[in-house]
Amino acid sequence: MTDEGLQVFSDEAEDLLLVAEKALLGLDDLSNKEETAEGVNDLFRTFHTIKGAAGLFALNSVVEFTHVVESVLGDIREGTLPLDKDLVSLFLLSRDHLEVLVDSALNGVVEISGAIKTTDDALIERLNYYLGLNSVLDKSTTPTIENAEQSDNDGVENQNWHISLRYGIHALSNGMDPISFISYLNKIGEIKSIIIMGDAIPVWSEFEAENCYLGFEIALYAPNSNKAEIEDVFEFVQDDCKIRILPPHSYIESYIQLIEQLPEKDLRLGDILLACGALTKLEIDGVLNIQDVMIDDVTVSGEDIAKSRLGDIAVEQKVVDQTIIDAAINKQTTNKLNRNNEQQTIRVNAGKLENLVNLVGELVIGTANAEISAIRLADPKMNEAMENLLRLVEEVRDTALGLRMMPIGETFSRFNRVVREVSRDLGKEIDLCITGEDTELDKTLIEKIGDPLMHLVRNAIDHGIELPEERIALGKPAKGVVNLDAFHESGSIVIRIKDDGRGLQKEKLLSKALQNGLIQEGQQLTDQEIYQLIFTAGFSTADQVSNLSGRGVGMDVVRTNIESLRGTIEITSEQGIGSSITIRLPLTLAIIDGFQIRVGDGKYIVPLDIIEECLELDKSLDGESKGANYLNLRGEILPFMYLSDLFGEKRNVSEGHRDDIIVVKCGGKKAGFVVDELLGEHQTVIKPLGEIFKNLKGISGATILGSGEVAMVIDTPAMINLVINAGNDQSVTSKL
Amino acid sequence: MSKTILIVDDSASVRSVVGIALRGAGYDVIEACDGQNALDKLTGNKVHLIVSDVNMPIMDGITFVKEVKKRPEYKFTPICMLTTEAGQTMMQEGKAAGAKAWIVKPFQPPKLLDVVSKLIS
Amino acid sequence: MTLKISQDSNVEGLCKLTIEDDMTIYSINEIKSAISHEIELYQKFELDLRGVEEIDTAGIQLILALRRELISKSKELKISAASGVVTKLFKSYSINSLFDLGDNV
Repeated sequence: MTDEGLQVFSDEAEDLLLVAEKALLGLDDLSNKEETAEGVNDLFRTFHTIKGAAGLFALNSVVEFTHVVESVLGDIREGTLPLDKDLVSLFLLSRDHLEVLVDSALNGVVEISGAIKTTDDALIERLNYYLGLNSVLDKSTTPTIENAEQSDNDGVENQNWHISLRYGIHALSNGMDPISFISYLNKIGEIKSIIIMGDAIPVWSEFEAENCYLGFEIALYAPNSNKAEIEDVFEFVQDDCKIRILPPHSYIESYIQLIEQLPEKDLRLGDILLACGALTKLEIDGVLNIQDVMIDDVTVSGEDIAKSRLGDIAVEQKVVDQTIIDAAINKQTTNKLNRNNEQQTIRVNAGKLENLVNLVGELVIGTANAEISAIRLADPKMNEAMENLLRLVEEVRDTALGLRMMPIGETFSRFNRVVREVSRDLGKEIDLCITGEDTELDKTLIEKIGDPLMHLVRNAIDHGIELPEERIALGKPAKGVVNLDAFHESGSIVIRIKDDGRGLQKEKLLSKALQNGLIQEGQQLTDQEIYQLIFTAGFSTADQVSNLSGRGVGMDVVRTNIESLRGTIEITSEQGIGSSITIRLPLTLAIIDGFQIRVGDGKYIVPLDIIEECLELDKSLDGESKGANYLNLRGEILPFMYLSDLFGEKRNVSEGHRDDIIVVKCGGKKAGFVVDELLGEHQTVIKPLGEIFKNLKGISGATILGSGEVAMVIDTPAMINLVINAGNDQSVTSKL
Repeated sequence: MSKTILIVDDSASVRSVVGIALRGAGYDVIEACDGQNALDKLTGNKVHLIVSDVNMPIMDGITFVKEVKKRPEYKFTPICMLTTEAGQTMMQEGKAAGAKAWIVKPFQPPKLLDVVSKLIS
Repeated sequence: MTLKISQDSNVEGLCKLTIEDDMTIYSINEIKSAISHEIELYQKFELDLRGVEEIDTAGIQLILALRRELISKSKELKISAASGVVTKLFKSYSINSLFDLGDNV
């Protein structure tokens, strides 16, 4: 059906065959029962999966062969066949043969022949030997279907099938909604009339709304169908529904039998069958006369009920045919529309995309290299061409990176239902207000951020928003508001969850933390530090544990998840007014606009979009603030640090040397880095650092410069914290 | 409003082909690679039908069905199992757990679409 | 699902039931128990299903059960408004005329 699907199958089959080989080679010690059982299980599943997938593409040679292997493995798994060395080597041969089969099937070979066929036959014969040969006959012939009941003459006039359904109590709760099956009938024929039988619905007080009490009498015009096809429609409800099907022109006796079998009163059924057009008035009279003679339970009241209902039924019938046809047509057109929409997007293998992004990275480095040479040549024509090229490469880069970006809206809209349901469960009234749903972020980030967000939203509802009465008492509107917002800010994605609830209660957090031994008596904590306590494992302040939150698991997981995405999480809160949780995530990216700086002999990159400004470091100011790593930036206190100190380079103290300071801002915090030289903008392809450098603070990656030199990429958020903390420590020591 | 179907199968190509077929027929599709993954992906989503394989690593189909039936917001959702012709006992187990519909593997997309429209048309 | 129950100020003994969002098996018990309180209190009932976004056979069955209960107590049930999905399902079961639901709502 699709080449794309086939490609996925090809990749998958290759993987699975590798798994199978590994599992088989792992079966070297058959005396180890546990390991062997596990290996057999893996093998079974592997072959099973290949078979299932191949079946989707009608790769019959693969399906047939795998089926036999799977059967033998099934017997081994069930314990009816012992596994020995011979079997293992037979499976190895089978695996190799399967590889050949998959290859040839993927190359379009429909029927195998020649050497492959010979191997196939030989292996199947050997495998069948283990199955006791019975399975050869297993592919039973499908039974032929006869319409014995359908007669051409002597039957009633009705040319429709008559279908009588009486659903069992559990049909609805099993998810088997009658409407689906009934609508499906329109695919094999045309519903001429349908009557819903609500006779079995008990009185209101005993009525269990999740139970099903309904029955249906349906006239279906389907001249080209046989009974088995119609029965097939109700395949899944066989256990949940009594199904009786009468072919067109059935004998009158069949209807009599039907009436006898159905639970409702005979007279009523007579009316129904008449209304359905199953029987004519004359035929009904005949039937009921026979019935009268046979059974004497037609009471006067029964007749009354039947008559009073006849009116209803007659009216009910008028519209059936057309509406059902309309519904069917509607459905078809919507399907077509959806199909057109589908074509506007193409599903691409994520690996290919990654490859593209990597290549673009190389391209960026390549052009940077070319640029250096071009500058050296100093040829105006060359420079002009180079500039053009650089611009294009930049566009290619942005577009390539954009391919992985998706709006966060879909994730956000999931929360609508959650908020509605959770707030209902808790008896709270809450509006969810979503903004910034168009904000795009990397697909992998979107996937990973869903669960933490869900947790935070639930927390806001559960812990944050008060009950309506409580809110009114506090002079707040009864309805609480949870805001969900996303936006881009200086090279990061910011997602904010805000509520107008009670806010975090600092005393409560503190006493809880004391109780849990997380802090010591008398320890001084900043607000931010207190709030961060809720991210500690095993911390929960909910007095009452609800099933939503309050178990103390989760918030620490939320933090770990976000940190593993190189993100940060921050809380602000005002008691009685609400809390706001801000998640900051990197835009992902393998490539950034960087700013190149030199510190000592080393070159470093700082992401351009977090740089606020670059200044010359005023030596007199430095002198003034000697000892403390602060400087006065237009009345603002700015902590700063010599990067040379940090990176173990020598400070340049030579006369006439000018120190520059770059002011960076990230997550609302500002800091200054003192550097030796500003080198200018540089498109940076971030290469992840190896395992050894994992713990290196302040560095998030490396890049290769156009000249071939390596430059380190500075992890700005970490670095800013380093600078600020260093400042704090120093101020503390100076106080002492 | 288009209906949403959750497809649970450890085979990427089954998911891919089934996904293409269902999306082509106008359904929204959520894909999951095993029972546990499926439970995670259910959360917060409205799902009209679940199509699940039986044989899967981490959490098999039967356990998954039992878990779904424990969740009040999903317990009435129709579930269709992907079984094998040899899996009669599995099928009975699945039915007992609450998965009332089934498709015998190997199958091709038209068969699946057919079953889907029987269950949620 | 949201359910609003209000008394009509113009018509004596008329109870208006407004159901919104979903009327499926997931919410049907809740609707049932909410309505149960009202059945004895009023003589006439009007269902406003304009805001129903999703309905299934469990929803239809509830309406049929309610109708039967009210008829048996010589009370009235009317559907004053219905959304497209509601009308469509009523038509599929060909019970739209039972509630005076037109063909073109």
